[in-house]
Amino acid sequence: MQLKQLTRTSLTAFILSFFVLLFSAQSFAYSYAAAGKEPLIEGREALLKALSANDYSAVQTAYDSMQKEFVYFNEHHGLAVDEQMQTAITNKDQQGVATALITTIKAEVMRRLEGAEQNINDYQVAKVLVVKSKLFIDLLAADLTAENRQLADTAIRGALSSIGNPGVFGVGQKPADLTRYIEYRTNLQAALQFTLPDAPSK
Amino acid sequence: MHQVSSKPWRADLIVCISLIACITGYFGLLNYYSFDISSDDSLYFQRALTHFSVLEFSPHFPGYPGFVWLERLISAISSHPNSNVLLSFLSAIALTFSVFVYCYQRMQIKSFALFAVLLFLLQGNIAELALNGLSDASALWFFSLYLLLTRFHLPLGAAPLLKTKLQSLLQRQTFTAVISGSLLAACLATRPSYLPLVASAMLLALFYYQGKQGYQQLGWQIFSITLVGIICALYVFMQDGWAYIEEGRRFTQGHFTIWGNTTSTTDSRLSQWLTTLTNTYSTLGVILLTSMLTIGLYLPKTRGLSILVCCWFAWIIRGQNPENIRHLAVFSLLLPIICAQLLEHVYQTKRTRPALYILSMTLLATLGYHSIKQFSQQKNAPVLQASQFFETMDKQQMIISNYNIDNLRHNLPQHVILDRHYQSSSNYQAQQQGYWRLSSNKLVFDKLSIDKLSTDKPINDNLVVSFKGRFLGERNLYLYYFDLNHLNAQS
Repeated sequence: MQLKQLTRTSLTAFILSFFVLLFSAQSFAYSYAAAGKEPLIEGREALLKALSANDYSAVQTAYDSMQKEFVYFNEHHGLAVDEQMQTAITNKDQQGVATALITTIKAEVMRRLEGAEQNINDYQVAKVLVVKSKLFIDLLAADLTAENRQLADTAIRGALSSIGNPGVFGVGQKPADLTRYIEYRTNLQAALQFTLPDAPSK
Repeated sequence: MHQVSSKPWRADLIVCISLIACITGYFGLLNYYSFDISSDDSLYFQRALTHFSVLEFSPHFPGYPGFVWLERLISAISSHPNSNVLLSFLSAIALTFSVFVYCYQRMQIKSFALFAVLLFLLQGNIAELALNGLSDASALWFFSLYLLLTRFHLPLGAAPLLKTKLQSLLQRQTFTAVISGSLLAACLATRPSYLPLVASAMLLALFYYQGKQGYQQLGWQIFSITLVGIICALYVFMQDGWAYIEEGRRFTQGHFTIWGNTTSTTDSRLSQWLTTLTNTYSTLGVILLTSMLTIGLYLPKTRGLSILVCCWFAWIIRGQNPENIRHLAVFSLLLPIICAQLLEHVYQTKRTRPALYILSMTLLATLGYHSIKQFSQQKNAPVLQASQFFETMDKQQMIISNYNIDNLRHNLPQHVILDRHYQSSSNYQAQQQGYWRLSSNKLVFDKLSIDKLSTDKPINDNLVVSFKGRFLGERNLYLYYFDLNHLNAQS
């Protein structure tokens, strides 16, 4: 059937149905700056907003929303950031709250890096963990010196390249290099000036 | 406008010289601008030159493997550091030729084809399309080749096929369908978000064929697309593995729940797109082009392309950000073709010719004047101008921006760049020291008040400097400075 043979009705129906289909869809636009849904990042926003307003009741609420993240470090790594944070909130110690938050973000970075190290042979897990840790490092920009920021950036890139690549059916395969990975992880510790209490010594 | 029949070679020569003059003239002038990385997306494509990983934003999701391969090819030939910008520039030139060839193929009159080229080049967004370093122009070029191959108004290769045997007819049809499918696949591999355009074209093509034949064509096209799609998917998986799916989930979820609508107004999306169209074509230009499109819908020879334009408009008002005029690129390709075809159609009637000349001139003058007045003398992209501004400062500065974050981080590692998306934390960190605020929108009084929490005044009475966009589609960036502890005054 030639297009010119189409009746006006069918043409209109085609256009209308297309419009109806599209208008029923969810709309979106884009900007890639945001990190994605991360409880610690979202909680940090609410917490710092409350802290700016000196509203410690709101600070407590914001902390409660991400308390699990803090408790995790105490339970699994012996880092008592949950206690530090709670004490700072109770004492209305602005600096204490900020410090506990920064420490937790650094711990989050190192936890992911260590997780990647333990899963170095599981490429998918390791890569996601390292990539996501970069999102947290970006949040620390104002708390690092320019030199340490660049060191951290180099370390993350190095860590990413040293976890290798599985390729497809063996094509493009690149084995993981644990020694280099540990070296970059150690460099990152130095750049962040932070080490998890139970961090491996090697 | 019609070529002189007594001496066709002379008319052809004039048209050819005019075509070359138009293309070299326009793109030669565009060459005045530096081939800068002007956006974060463009930066991601540049990164992909050396290392492909969607997870590492090199480039961003969904990966654009076709575009990355092309830019690597260009890089290998030219060694240009910003090969993606060079590629978009070359693609825009190729697209101009496609407009000419398509119109000539359809109308067999070079002067009307030249008119389409002029109309194409006089659109305000072509410069941005050529210099943005993104995949729009390249993908659209593949799509234009698809249009050239299928002609988009007749069954594929119908005229010659009628004269051949049934077997060769089938073979020829299959071959054409596979090639056209491959071109659509190349378009999608270069820019996957052209899926609505490709899908509309394929569905629309179904109406051109009788029953089984149409479905066969569609089947072969889907086969070609699937084949190329599998190659692309394998390439992406080779770099990122199943983690690509994880990133896709994050990215898609982010689209819908986090960064969603990045526009600066609360107007309806349709209203915002109408504003964008007016900014791009001027009010008179929009009225003229809309009238042409409406007439185009009723003429069989332009109906296919006109429906495509409508489908694309339906898609962008729901699915694309009105602040990015590059999404109008599909219009930029199709509208000049539709206009030229309509004018050629009306040209057959002698008594309408004077009106036709007036209409053509009005259209060219309107688009041309509106387009030319938006060019500025700045050679560098606004983000690069901003980077140059800060490069002169030795002391670490805090810069909060809602635009081009990764570009700034890349260009200014010595300074702290904070993402305005995280507004509360940015404000909190800014309490510690004075900070710069780089915005893609001029901050109106209310916004400034929110920024300052109605307390003090920024140094130098608000705006410190603005970095002008070079042409339509490149946003101006406005730089403000806020004094130390201005957020503490309330507390």
